[in-house]
Amino acid sequence: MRVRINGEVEEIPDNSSVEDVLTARKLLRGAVVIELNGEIVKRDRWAGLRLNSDDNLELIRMIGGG
Amino acid sequence: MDDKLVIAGRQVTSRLFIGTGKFADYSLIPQVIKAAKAQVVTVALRRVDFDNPGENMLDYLPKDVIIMPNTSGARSAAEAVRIARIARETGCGDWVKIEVISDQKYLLPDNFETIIAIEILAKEGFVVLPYMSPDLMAAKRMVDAGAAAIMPLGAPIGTNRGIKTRELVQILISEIDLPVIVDAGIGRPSEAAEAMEMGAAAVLVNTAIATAENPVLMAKAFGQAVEAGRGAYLAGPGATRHFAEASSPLTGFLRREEKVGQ
Repeated sequence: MRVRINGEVEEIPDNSSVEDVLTARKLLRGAVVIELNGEIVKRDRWAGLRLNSDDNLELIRMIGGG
Repeated sequence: MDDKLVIAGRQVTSRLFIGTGKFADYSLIPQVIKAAKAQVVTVALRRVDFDNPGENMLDYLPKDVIIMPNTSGARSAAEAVRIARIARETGCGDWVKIEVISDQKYLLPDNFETIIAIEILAKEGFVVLPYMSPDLMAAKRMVDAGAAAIMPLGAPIGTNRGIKTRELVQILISEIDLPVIVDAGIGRPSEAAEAMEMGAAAVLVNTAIATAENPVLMAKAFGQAVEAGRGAYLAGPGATRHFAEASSPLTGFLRREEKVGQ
């Protein structure tokens, strides 16, 4: 199915969870905050939350800034 | 002397706040924080770059720092609120530097949108420190909206030009009961000392340290300047005058005391 991840349309396996997306990209859990369709998804929901086609996922992290 | 900076009920051990942008390497950041003896440290939030995931910024921040994410990139109150909520979700606390900028040439903050964002975030329990253009009435509204401190700019971000807004910042310091922290524009330790002598509660420095040839040494110099400037403020500088006043007695040896006019 197709979802939008950080603004880019991507093909991911059906029934993927938020956690699966992170794992596929080898991202560290502690470093990332996730928004799904504009709503923050708490960490304890990542494994159980299945994505749907056309979902809009934002993966955000801290960087240096002033 | 008992001279403590308290923001939102929390005692802050250093009056030099450090920004973490523009450093050539994250590994410099802990060294800079240590050399400056800084406690409050700003960070930014961005989308993960999958092509270049890089390192986790948090790994480079000492455990005892207060992390203050900024809302850079926000052009409206709504965007600033969104970024602040995401920032809190990182688990790094409730402090946030509100930064709402839609002017891309001078990067001057939008006080109006900032006030709206403060009102929303303060109600949600954030400790809100707004970056602002030094305008007294806007600052008063920020106080009313629930700000924990006020952070006027000294000069546009990243310019290293010093406290060009001196007169206006001085008015904020005298009229606003919250800590006034000079943010942006400070390019040299002497300018940080100047802000502290004016009575600023703290300064926030990023570019001046990050772009120095030796950032760690510059961080140390800034730390010393902030302490010196604060000391001078507390000591109460003597009055300035137009004509000379001798530091050593002019009479009592080669000349007798004379009365003026004789």
